[in-house]
Amino acid sequence: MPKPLRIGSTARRVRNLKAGRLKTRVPAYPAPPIELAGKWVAWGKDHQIIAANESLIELKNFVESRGLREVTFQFLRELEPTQTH
Amino acid sequence: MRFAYSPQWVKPSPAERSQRIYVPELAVHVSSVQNTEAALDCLGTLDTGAVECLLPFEVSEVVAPVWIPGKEFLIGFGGERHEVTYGQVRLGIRLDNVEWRWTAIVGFSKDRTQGSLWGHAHFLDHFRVTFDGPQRHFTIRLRNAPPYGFTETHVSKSRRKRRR
Repeated sequence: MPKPLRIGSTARRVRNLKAGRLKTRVPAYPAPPIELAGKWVAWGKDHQIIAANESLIELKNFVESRGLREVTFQFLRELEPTQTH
Repeated sequence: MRFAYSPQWVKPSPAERSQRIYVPELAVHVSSVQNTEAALDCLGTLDTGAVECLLPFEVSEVVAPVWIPGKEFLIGFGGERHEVTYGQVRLGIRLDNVEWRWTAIVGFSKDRTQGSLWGHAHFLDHFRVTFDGPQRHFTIRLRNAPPYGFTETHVSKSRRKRRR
């Protein structure tokens, strides 16, 4: 049986948008401390920094040794002029 | 699904006098093609100016990608050359109650000082992404049917509660 058209869901989304009900679902990560620029940080599921290290592998081992789950890793940009490729 | 921009520190310039900028960042699950245990969630910037996804080389030491032989060079905006090695990995994001995974070829660079970038090839081209600069949020969704090779896993309600 073919899937029904998703017109209803689009209409619902437009209705929610107009009513202002479509809120940000995933909150921002807070600004990390400026001293951590150029390092790897581990964010907990509550969007707080758990640990930081210059080595990603050491940081991951530390997080795993603590039994922490649902951790997100990020390399914080070094304080140089923004650069793209 | 809507995500808020996240603040980042930069050196002020005549164009951007603030030390703090807001960028669209997304946590992406990066894993090995063969071993799903070799994985990490990596927070990176959605970059519509990037041709491809580019990750710090250290990520490859965790996820052990299937390497594509040879080295390439990417040219920075100042003309500087950056050596890049390409590898095949699995990427994944969670949108609402569905985890989407797909195989992607990404670049790994030892020169990177800017963190991870999610570019067009194997990432942004799969999704409909809209950016709202003044409101500092972006919305990412799949357009119609998922692309070929995508796998979806529905996240149970209990797991969703745990992740929040």
